[in-house]
Amino acid sequence: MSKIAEMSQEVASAGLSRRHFVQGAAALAAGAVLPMTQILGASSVSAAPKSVLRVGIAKQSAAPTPFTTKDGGSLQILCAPGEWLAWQNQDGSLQPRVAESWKSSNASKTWTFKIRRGIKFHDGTPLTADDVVWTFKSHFDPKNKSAQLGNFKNSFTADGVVKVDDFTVRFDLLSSIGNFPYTVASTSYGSLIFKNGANGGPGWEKTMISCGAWILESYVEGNRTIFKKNPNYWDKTRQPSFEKLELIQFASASAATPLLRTGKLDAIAILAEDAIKLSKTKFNLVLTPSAGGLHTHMRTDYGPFQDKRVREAAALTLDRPGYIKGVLKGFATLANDSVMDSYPTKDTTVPQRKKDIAKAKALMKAAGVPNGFAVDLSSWVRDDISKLAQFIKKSFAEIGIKVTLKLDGSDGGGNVYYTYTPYPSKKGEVFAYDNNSWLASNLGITDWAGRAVPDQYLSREWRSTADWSSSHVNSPKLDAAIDEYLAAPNKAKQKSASKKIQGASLEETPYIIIYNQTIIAAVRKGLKGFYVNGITQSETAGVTG
Amino acid sequence: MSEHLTTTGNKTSDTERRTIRNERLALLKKNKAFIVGSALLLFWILCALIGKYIVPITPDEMNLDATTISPTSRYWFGTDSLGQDVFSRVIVGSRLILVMSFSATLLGTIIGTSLGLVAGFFKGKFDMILMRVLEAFSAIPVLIIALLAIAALDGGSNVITVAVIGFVFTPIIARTVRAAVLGEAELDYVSAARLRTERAPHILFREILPNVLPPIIVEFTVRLGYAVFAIATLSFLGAGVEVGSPNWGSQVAENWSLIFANIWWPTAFPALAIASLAVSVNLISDGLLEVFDL
Repeated sequence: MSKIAEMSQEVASAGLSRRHFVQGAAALAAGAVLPMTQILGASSVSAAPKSVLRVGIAKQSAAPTPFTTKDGGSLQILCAPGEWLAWQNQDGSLQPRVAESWKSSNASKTWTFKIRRGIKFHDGTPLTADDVVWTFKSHFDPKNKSAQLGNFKNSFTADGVVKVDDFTVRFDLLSSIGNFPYTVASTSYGSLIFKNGANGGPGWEKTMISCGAWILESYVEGNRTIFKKNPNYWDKTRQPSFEKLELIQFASASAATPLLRTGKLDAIAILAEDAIKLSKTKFNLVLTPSAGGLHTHMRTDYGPFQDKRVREAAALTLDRPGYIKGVLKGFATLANDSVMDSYPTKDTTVPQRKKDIAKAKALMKAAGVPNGFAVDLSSWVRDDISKLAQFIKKSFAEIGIKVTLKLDGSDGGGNVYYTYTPYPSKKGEVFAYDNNSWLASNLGITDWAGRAVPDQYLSREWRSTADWSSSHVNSPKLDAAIDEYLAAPNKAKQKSASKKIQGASLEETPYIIIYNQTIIAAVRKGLKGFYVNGITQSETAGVTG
Repeated sequence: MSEHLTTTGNKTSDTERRTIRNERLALLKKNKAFIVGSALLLFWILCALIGKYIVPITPDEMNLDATTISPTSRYWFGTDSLGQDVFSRVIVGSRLILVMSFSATLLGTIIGTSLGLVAGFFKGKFDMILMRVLEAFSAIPVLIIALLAIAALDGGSNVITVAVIGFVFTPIIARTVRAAVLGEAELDYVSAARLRTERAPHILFREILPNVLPPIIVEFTVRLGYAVFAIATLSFLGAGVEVGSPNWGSQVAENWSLIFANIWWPTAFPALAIASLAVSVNLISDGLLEVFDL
């Protein structure tokens, strides 16, 4: 029992003396009431022997299985035992893994992947094309309720996954997609390869049989997962140099830093900006610019933000550079209310939106709400989300929008906010209510991990048929630009389409995106090879030191 | 307790009451614990009443050029990670916790006293059943009940938090009052009132209540201390308060992780405020206990 819980019980007990009560209060004042391990959300952590690599990761909110993963904690667990057709590198490029190569044909409507020979699953079974086909077809089975389905269903169908021979798989797509390999790589983090006939849903986490560098030894939900190295791991250049890997979950990454400094952790996957102050002399930082970050949606089909002038006015209240410099300590890049801003295909001629209260007030007046209105801002309690929510509340107040923060903190994760009422994906259909959930709130904040290409954002968040569209944006102009981008066969065409998406994003403003996150990982001095990619998956196999 | 006073009487009893009251006041004025506690409490009450008019910076004002800076001459308690002035937030944050803890304790005291008076006076089956029910409720920790109620009522509000804490305090206060009333009900002035065929409410509230006030006052201050801590803890856990509001418990909750980056001031000052308020109430309680000789 935590100290705070003990004290709470004592307070409740009539038998507690005032002296003890006062002592307890004084202890709280001294900041000493919360013993370290309980604050951290992990059980006791002893000094690490060198044969064990210990990494602090985020608290999971979903089970770490291919079908259920949808959060940082679970995807960080999956990247230890899992292996994908390809891996998203730190710089966003793709590294062939289970697939040793791939090529497109038929104007990028057909993609053929050559499967690497000699790969074995953790139980010794050789991996073949049958396993790959089974993995992807399984996500389409309705009874599996795979959270990954949204990544695939706009690109191909179950019938489109075809075994050519024992070591060749072909994907026949619904339309041309220039960036398709990312769709079946670790960028779609639940698409790790599992055995033919296995169920990748709840229960899979008891074995976690895939073909990655680490084999599951024990898994305690919400706490700690221990792996041993895979002696049959196929990649001879990335053989684990540690005997074991421990992934320890923390409610707050900042709280893990003392354990890193004292050698009880070797690395922390994601660090808060504020912790940087201490870090430079004690451990090394590993920075990964990403396209991820917090997207603030405004419902376009219901509630007070239906008028796009109101949405634009709201977006004009925010001092973006000030927030990045002051609150994020510069560990982010400026964004312009579009998901295209962090990619090389971005068109730099599109003007950056800046704070302009006079223009915002004029827009509010023109929209018929000169005095503003009251609205809830929904999301869940996490350091970065809470800060942005307060910043938005304060900024919106300048044009009369009175925001009440409804941030759920009941489960330590985002499960309540992310209650998945599937958006119907039908044009014109409206959820005529605000229930403070992700897909049915007038104003809300959603955390998006960084994809190496914008395809998933565009197809799952921005297109009018997107299943994770919290703004419910429905713009033919935006849809056409998105389709053009997804089908673009080269960078030049992508850039041309990107300009149209960026322009339409500013015109419609379904989302406010003020920054793209720079992921901060920290490693103890001497540890080499550890990094976190844009989608927050850790490289742990090739780590030495 | 050695004095038993009745309102039916005469000038003598009024004079005796005044004398005793004056003696107790004189003793309280000499009691160091009471004086220190009262001074601290008075300070926080003043902050709650006029704090928002005297703070140098609006509590929710964000200076993005001055985030997480340590205490300076401009920012006495430093700033938090959003560039908000910790001093202003601590001063203004006193209002909510004081209003809520006083309200909750007052609610529990009023209901608990009424139930205790009735149970101790009528006794019998009514007393037995009522006390067993109250004991059953008092067996559940206040925070458990509060969290359950707040969760059941969809996030809760300050009013719900106050009601829940008041409700949980009720059995404890009722038990104290009942014990005092059991002794009083056997005394002559109560028998005399019965003989005069006074109605029960009159006997309870005009005859007995004034004579059991000392333990009620002490119990009130003890419960007030618990209420301060319970409300701070609930705020820390995020129950019933809006994220970012200038509230001591939530300020601690929002900033504690910064301690590990040596940014201690956004957590330490609200935590000290909680401690000082709880200590002040308990010092007052200690002083009253000594003076009332309970």
